[in-house]
Amino acid sequence: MLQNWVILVVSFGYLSLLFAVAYYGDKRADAGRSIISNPYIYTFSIAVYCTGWTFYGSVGRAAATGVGFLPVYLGPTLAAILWWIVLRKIIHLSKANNITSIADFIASRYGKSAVIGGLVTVISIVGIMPYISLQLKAISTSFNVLFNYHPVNAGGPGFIHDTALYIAIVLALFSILFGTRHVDVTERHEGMVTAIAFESIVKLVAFSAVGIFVTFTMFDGPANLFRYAAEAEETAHLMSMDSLSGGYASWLALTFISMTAILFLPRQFQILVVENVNEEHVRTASWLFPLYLLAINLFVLPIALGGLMFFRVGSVDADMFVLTLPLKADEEALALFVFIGGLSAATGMVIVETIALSTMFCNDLLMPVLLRLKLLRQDDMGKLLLVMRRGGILLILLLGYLYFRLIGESYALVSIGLVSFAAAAQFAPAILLGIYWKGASRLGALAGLSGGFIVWTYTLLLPSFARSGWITMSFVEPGPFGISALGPYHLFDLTVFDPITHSVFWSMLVNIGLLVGVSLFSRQEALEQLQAAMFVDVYKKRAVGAGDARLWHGKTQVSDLKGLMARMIGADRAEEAFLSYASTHPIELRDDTLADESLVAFMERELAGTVGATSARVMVSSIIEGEALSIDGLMKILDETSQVIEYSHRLEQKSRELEAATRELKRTNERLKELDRMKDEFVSTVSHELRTPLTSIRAFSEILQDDENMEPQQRQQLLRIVVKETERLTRLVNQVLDFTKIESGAYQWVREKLDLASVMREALAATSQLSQNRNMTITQEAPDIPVMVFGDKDRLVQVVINLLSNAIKYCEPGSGRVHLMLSHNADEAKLKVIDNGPGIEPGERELIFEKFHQFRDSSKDKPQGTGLGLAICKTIIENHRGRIWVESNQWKGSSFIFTIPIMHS
Amino acid sequence: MMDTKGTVTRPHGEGRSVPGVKRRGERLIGLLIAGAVLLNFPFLSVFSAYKLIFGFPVLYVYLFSVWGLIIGVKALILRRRPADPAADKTEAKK
Repeated sequence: MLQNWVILVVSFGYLSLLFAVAYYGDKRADAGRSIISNPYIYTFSIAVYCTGWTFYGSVGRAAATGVGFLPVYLGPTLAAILWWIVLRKIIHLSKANNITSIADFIASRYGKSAVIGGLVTVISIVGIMPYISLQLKAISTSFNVLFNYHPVNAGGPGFIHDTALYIAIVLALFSILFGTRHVDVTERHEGMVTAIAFESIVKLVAFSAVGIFVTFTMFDGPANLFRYAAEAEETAHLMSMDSLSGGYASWLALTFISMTAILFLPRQFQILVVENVNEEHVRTASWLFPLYLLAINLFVLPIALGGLMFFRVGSVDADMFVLTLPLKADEEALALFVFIGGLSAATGMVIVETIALSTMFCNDLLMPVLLRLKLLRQDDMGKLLLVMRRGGILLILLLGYLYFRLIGESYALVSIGLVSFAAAAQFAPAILLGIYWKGASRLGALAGLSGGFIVWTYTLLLPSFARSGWITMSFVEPGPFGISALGPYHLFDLTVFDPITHSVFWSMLVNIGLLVGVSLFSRQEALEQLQAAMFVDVYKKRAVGAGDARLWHGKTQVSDLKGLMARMIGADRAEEAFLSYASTHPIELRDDTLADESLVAFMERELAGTVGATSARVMVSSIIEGEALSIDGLMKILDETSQVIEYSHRLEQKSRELEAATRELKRTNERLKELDRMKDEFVSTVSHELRTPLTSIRAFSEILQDDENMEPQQRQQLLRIVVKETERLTRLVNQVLDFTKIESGAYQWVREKLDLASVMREALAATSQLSQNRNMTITQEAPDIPVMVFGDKDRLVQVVINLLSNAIKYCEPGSGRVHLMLSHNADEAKLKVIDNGPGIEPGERELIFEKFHQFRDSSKDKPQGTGLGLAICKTIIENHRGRIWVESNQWKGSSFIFTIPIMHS
Repeated sequence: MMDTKGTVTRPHGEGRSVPGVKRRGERLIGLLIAGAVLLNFPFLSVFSAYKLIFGFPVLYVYLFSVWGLIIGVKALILRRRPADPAADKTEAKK
């Protein structure tokens, strides 16, 4: 027999155990060996998502709608897929800005707006009120079931009469003990997180225990259970989607609001973001937490089916099957354990939720108002903060209790909870758009949030009051003033949706529509723009928070700042903060020095960790003389951002240029190597060419020296040869010099407008002596008008002389004939040097223009030229953008032809 | 729009495959879409039948299998790889 006192002792024993666990967690944290700094504790603490709703309500929901309890867990599973991307960004932002709650987060994003922070807080408190009442209802109902199930326990109505009130008070005290024991409220609640993780394990084990008991002990395994259920009329329909009220639209809507709830319910935000120790833990939690959800839901349907088959339909509240089934089977120990599991689920939720909400209530609602009214001039603000927070917890639980008293009896657990989910979903657009779209503005967020909240209130909250008789029922059906188009369950006569889906549809439409629309048509203030850029580009910033230092423009003394900090967070911690700042910055902190901008910004961030971003801003600006927000500073920061972008563009361009330069260098290097090879070749060939005349000069000179009795005539002849060879040597050296000069690019070209005919005449004059010596006929032919080209006269003359002298050299003296022909067309001038010499073999025609290629006459063994003349010609002509080549002609000799572009006047 | 947070694109990685750094974000989004499609109409209506398979309702089996599958694939995508920036870095922060 389960006695009342046993139940009470066990309950309080369990709560004490919880407290011990929390105490242990705090002690570990103080010792610097944090127990919650691992991904598993983090995951289990996230499971605070599973509340009395999951523990008791899911079975009730399953008993009515089959798999209809599942979207609430499938949504988080889907949402967790993106945690690695979205949640990590939110955590990163929150850590950088010392964010303390979801209201703080949204307010910070939209220019540290106190109005937004307050609005989010109001939405949270009003929206979560039903959710807390759900927990009260779950605990008090389960109490009553345990107390009243056996007739023996029917007595003692005095205590039971208002179980929920007592529970609310106990839970409030418990939360106060847990969450607000310390004066230093900025610390993470490590003890609380430890206790929550512990509770998550307890509720999973308890629920699985009752699941296994029902499935295997009462029904001999799942196969039997499902077979019976499929045969029974009242349970068979639960195995398909048909029993789901609202159909697939409702399924989709529930999935959607659960996806947002897992991140944006204030307590989930608290656990996921504020209490997060390490971003890396998200990696494990992303899959392990959905696995936890899967595990705790595995037995929901079997228990629901078992309950429906075991009890007469309607005789027992399906929400309480997990308790009544083991009681019915006389397994009282199990029932007690299950009760403890349910207690875990509900208390966990209430503790975290009230702590999160009271923080918001205090930082984002109460403080800004008190600051505005200049009511806060106390010396020790730390104590006041604690009082406000404790008051907040009590207030929130009492609100939950009131809601429970009003409507609690008329709703099933899950229906109450879904109302809160729809409220939490209102935060999703402002946050998600806020961290990815810089354009989302404060006014837009304000309009979206309030619009969504009003629609939610009208379509879900007010009807729940009506149902409890608080407002007349005709408000819901047919609608206010009898107008059905205004009916909160079917606005504009939209009747295809169930109430939740209907509300989600309209509120989201209004919320997103207003947020986007107003943002597009409103102008952002300076601080807003800055915060927006910081939130969206958090990963691109070099150091988060470094940017807003220049925003503080006014002046304040270090002592004032110290005073403010000491009032808010206590003298010791203020001193600590100043020391930590001084240790990283080269600054001397004497009381009478002026605090520089970065020190003020640093202290504002410290303060934000205690009182929230908006309050911190108001407080700091209260002690700063002069303009708090400097537009110049802001412009500089925005400028800097665009400069960084500009800079990276330039870097990219530079790197492209560098690549091009590298390619160029490679090519140049190849060319240099080639040139080097050519130079070696050149040097060895030149040396060889120089040696030939030198050898003969030396040989003849030695003969002259040795043979003193030589006849004068022979001596003359030998001397003539020496002189001729010397001339050859001189010519060779001159040509080598010319050639290297041109080839190396060192030659200074003197270009001018000139008539090619005059060039031709000059060359003829220069070679006339030579031709006369060899008794040759030279003829010329040129157009009447001048053939104007742009070039270096001396060099061009040199070319013609070279060609002419070659022609003269190779022709037979006496019979030799040379003809010069100048002609032109529209584009180029052409000069031909035609001779009747021996001609050139086709295979040789290309080669003769190369350096040191010597034309060898088969009849004479000795080369006649230096091998450089034609190479020089080629270089000069190509330098004039012309071509030079050789072909055979009608006289069986060869024609050397070159062309140069005509210059048009 | 989503610039896949935390997936820092490295300039030197262009053209080469950067294992698990940029692709991870894309894979997760792909999984989300697949999951959302599988867990909604019309897939659900296909399995919404009064039938038992291996002694379990077919809808129940389908939902829990897809659920488990999503969790498995998610764990696979998010598993730590040598290419990841060292966890110690974030650890050291606090």
